[in-house]
Amino acid sequence: MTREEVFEKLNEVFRDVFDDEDIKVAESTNADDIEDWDSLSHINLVVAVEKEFGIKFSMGETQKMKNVGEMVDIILERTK
Amino acid sequence: MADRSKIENLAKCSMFLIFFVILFWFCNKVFILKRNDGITPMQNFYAQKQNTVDVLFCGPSLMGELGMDELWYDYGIAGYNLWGSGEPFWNCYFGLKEALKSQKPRVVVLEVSPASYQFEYSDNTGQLVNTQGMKFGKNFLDAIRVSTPKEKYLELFFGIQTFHWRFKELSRDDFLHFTWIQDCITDKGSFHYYHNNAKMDLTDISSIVEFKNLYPKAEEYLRLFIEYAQQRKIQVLLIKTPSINRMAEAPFYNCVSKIADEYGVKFIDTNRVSDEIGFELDDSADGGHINVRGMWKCTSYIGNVLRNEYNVPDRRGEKQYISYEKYTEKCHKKHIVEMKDKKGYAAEVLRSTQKPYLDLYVPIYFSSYNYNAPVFVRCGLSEPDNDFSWTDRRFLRMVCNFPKNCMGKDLKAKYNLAQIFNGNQRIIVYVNNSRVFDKKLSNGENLEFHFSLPADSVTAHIMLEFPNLLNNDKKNALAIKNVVFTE
Amino acid sequence: MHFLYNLLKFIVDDFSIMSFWFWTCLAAFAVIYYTVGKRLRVQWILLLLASLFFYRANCSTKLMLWMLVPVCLTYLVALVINNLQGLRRSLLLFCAVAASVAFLVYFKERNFFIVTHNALACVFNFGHWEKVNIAAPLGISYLILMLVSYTLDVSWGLVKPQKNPLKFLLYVIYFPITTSGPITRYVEVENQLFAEHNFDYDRFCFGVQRVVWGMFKKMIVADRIGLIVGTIYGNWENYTGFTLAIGLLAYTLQVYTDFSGCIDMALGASQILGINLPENFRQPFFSSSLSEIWRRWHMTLGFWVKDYILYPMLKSRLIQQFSNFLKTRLGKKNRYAKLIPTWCGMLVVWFTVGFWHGGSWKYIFGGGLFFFIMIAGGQLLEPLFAWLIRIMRIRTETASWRLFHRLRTFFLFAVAVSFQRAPSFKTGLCMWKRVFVEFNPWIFVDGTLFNIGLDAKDFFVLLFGGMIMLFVELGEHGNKAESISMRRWIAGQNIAFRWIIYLGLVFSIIIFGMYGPDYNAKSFIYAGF
Repeated sequence: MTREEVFEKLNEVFRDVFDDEDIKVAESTNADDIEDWDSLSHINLVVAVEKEFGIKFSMGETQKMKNVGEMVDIILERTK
Repeated sequence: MADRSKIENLAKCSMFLIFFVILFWFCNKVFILKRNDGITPMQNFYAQKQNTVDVLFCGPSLMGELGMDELWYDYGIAGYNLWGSGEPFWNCYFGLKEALKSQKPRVVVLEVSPASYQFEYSDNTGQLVNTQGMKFGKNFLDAIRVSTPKEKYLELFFGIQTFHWRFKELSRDDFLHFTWIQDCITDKGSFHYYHNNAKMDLTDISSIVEFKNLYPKAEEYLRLFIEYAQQRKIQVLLIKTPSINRMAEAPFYNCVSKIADEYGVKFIDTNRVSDEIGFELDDSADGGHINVRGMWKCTSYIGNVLRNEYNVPDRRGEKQYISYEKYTEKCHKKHIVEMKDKKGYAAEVLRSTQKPYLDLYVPIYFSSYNYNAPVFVRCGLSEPDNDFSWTDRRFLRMVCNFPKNCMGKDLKAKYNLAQIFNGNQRIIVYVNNSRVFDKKLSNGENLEFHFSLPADSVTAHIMLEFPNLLNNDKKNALAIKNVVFTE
Repeated sequence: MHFLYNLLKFIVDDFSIMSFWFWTCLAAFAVIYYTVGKRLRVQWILLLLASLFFYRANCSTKLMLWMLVPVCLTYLVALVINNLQGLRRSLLLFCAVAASVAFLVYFKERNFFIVTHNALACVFNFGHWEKVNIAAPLGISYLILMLVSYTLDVSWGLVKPQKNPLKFLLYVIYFPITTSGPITRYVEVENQLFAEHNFDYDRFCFGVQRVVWGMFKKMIVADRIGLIVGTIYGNWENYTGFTLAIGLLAYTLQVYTDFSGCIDMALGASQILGINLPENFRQPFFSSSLSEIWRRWHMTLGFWVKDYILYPMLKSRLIQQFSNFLKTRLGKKNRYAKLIPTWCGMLVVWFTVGFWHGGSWKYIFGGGLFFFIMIAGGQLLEPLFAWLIRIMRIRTETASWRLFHRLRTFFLFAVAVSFQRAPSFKTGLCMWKRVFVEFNPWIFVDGTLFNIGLDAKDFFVLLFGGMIMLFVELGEHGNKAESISMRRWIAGQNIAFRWIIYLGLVFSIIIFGMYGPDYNAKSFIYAGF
């Protein structure tokens, strides 16, 4: 999987979780950029991402992720 | 470069700390409670000139009631009253040590009421007023250590902890209470009571001979006090001013008497010599403290002892001791103002039994076109049943201070008389030493005369002479209602 | 030697973070720390000794030994857990966490179970248990949370276990945090606690300034509000309407100024020694929603429950299966299919938060469940609110709307917190009922305000102190990063101005602080945990 493909899929997930068709995520997107992205929706997001990519984030990774870019890094590593 | 910034930082810190300390000291001085029952006597003591205190008085409020003004007025004895509210012996001891740093009195007088105190530590107020006046030093630290349990050391050391609450009641005086601003040297510590709300306990206790031991800490510091003074060749005099409950406390003072004998120290128990001193029921302010009436008698008695048995010199006229003159004058003015009741005036008269005339400072009130002066001239012979006063002295001198705009004016004086005794009286009036009136008046007449105020003064010394009266033969001259001055 | 022992005993008479001796000793300690400690490279050992001394000075030896039990347990478990696999691993993890929690509950929330037992006893007719109030080791509530976070972090691979038992002990009882937090995670301080710290003048000054600011907040503002709160809560049957409301709402302000002042002192003290601890408050009353306020109030607690309870719960298989079940039954896009599972997680979280504050219903409700009800209720009724906003033509980008949100948030938050101070949950309800019994706006002008615990002068000091606080908080609100902006701004001014401010702060505390005889400044609200 290429990075761009991951980003495409993530866009889908984000739009689904936040119910907003206009979301487009980038490397540096984080909780400050999306209005409803709070601690609760974060966990829903993580679960949705796990489902979409068939991977499992560890608790540590869930906590450590600072932005979408880091999320993508972990996804790429897992799906190698 | 790094070193320079280090030095800079160090310099900045030091300067900051210096500012802090100065401000902190200033805060302490401003916020400290200016109580005249312990704190200001100590503070003003420091302002006294070196070696100008011949007699040092220590003790609780029962010592504070003794008037240094009376001592000076009658005997010229330079005494300072270093007292504190409820001051236990240990605070007296440290106060003494502190005092002896700058003064060398000949006699130290200790009031021994604390002999009946049965506590290890005074109450909070007592602890504060008896320590906070002291300057920082070993005595201050020792006083704290002894005055209070260890949990409260910090509280007493940093008095600001208690006083900072005073931010709600700061007054102008608080900010001016510095020795270079205020005239602290003309305060000798005494506190005067003017009221008479309870009768003095005059029970005869000559039969009470039991002993009751003092509280150990009290006895320890009583002995330390006496020993400390005696080591420095200072004579000690123990006294007991009138108690509120003679019979209950007498056993303690019997014990004190024993201790006094041990050290060869004289002990005057006024409870046992009340007749000699001449105490009366009305000499008490609240049952425990004597008012100025009682104070005059008591101080007179003690002064006599000090003069004759301890040879304390007469300092009247000496330049170094001028502050005592000023203090006495201040106190006398205050007495006249405070003693508005007729009995007080009577006492005022009684105390000047040696003098042929009665000196009065008369407050003048301006009302529309004349100046009124209430005149209370009582002689303590009997209760007045009307609102007037009479005199039995041969001379009655009234000192009247008129408003400033009266300088140089011609005034007419009218004494509204209620009665002229013995049919008629020859009355001579001198104003500022010049005779302005000399006539006989009969009952029903009023006394009227003219006089001029000097061009440079608003004071008129008006002397009334009643030549028919001989000194002290207790016949009345006239009864005055009031005096009215018109232009 | 005898003298030294006596001196120690004398000092230790009162060694809380509010005592004179604590700060004097800290000053002396800082000197040793930066001279001897730096040279001999034993700074962390000095910290450990200081922390032990502090702990022992505030706690009996028996309780101190009790404290060591969960500490040792966690230390040992952390060393072995990563060597285990599968069921044994999960089991050990579960036991370790459960043991720590049980330890906490035993000391702090025991009465909850006793009361529940007694309630059942009434129904089923068996014997009652006596309620017990026992002393707990210092800071046990914070300690246990820290230990659990450490255990879980180690098991999740976020941090390597600490092999040196003494270093681990230092982490647990590091003295600035034992009294009232912040709940510090091992990762946040691992590098700092054991490293060497040079003396940095600026950092030192900032630390001292922070301490002074904390004292200002606590001694001038918090303790004064405390008098009002105490008067009204102590006599609530005689107050109604606005007067009672003032007392109830003021309690939150008291908690905030008290707790954040205490945190400032702790963080400042730590900063003096070169160790930066996590923030606990970020201008909470500027929040627009109850969810947001818990990201700005007692932040370390909020993050703790989020990371160690909420996320594990929501990611757990049970909840995921439930979520899938709901999705299939109600449809994938259904709001409630997404919300209900989160509500389950939130319920547990809020119950825990409330329960952690205290084992009685007033805490559980006032510290937790109320928020759950409000937040879940808000989410539940969201369509209704959206509709209302639409038909009332409310514009949601205006400042007035934001202000309304902030005020509403504060009010709701304050209502919840007010229950915690009430004698019981039922009493809390009674008190709030009394607020609506009478409408008495005249109390604002007839002088009643000066009769509810503070006289006029104290009241003005309070208002003035509050204004200064508000000004500082406004200044810091814009800044997302550390709350150091105000200090930096002042530091950038000229020396005379700076010193006037610093000396002004210090002397305000000396003059207006609520301390000294007739006054006990040691009543921390969050230090009973």
